[in-house]
Amino acid sequence: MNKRFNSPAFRKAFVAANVRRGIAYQLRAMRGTRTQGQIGELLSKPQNVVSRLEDPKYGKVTVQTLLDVAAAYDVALLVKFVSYGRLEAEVQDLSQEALVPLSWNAEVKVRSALERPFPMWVREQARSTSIESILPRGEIKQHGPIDLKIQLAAQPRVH
Amino acid sequence: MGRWRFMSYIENGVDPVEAECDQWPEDVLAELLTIVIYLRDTPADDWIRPDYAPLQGKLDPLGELRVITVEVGQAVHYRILGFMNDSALEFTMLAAGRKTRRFSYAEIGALALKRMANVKSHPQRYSHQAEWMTDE
Repeated sequence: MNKRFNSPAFRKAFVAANVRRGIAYQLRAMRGTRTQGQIGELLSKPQNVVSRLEDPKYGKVTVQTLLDVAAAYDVALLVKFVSYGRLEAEVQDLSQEALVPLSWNAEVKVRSALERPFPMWVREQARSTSIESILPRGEIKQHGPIDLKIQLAAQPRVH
Repeated sequence: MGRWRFMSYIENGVDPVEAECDQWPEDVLAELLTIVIYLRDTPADDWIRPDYAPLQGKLDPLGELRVITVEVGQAVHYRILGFMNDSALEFTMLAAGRKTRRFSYAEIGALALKRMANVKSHPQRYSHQAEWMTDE
């Protein structure tokens, strides 16, 4: 952990900055190629509200607004107090894949696909290599690589 | 996409960006650290305001990391000028400054361009990974 975390003032400022930036960058990633106007329609809010939500300087987002966004995207929302160690682990991967959660419908697809487990060798290889390198293209196209990663991770180890 | 690596300018064993940042308030450094950890996983096209801005004209291809805070009721701007090496996924920080009324892009920009030329000609000699920033 960065040595500056020994300072309470730095820790306090980091937590605040991370919450603001976390919301902004995640909403930007979840929007994808859609415009702020399109997301505004999804949320039943004007475009400038979406713009504000994606502004890492804003910092006045209410829990109710976050709940509204979660409902609109049909994803879950977690707001919880954690240790600094947990926070550090959370910010280790802020890639686009990590920032965009599966919607309920996508989760249902994954769950139904679980009824047809992948062979053991596929699951073993998936732990150490990229999913794209071991599965046929059609399979990836059908479920999407992110869905498949979760699906494989969720499968119990069967020998 | 891979992860961006943040590099910093070094000359005669001194990292001038680190030295300048050491003088900055802790809340500014906390903002800067979050900017870096979010940008390092963000594609170059999504490095946008308010956290990052490309510089124009004579200062192209430089860009700047931007932190804005409010001190005594007034906005204060902290900037780190640097350049992207897209193929290596590296952003090299070259010069840092606190933007006040007397802040001059001409001065810090010329310094950053000179340092960029040094880095491009001798990357091993004039740049190093900015471990002081992210502890990587």
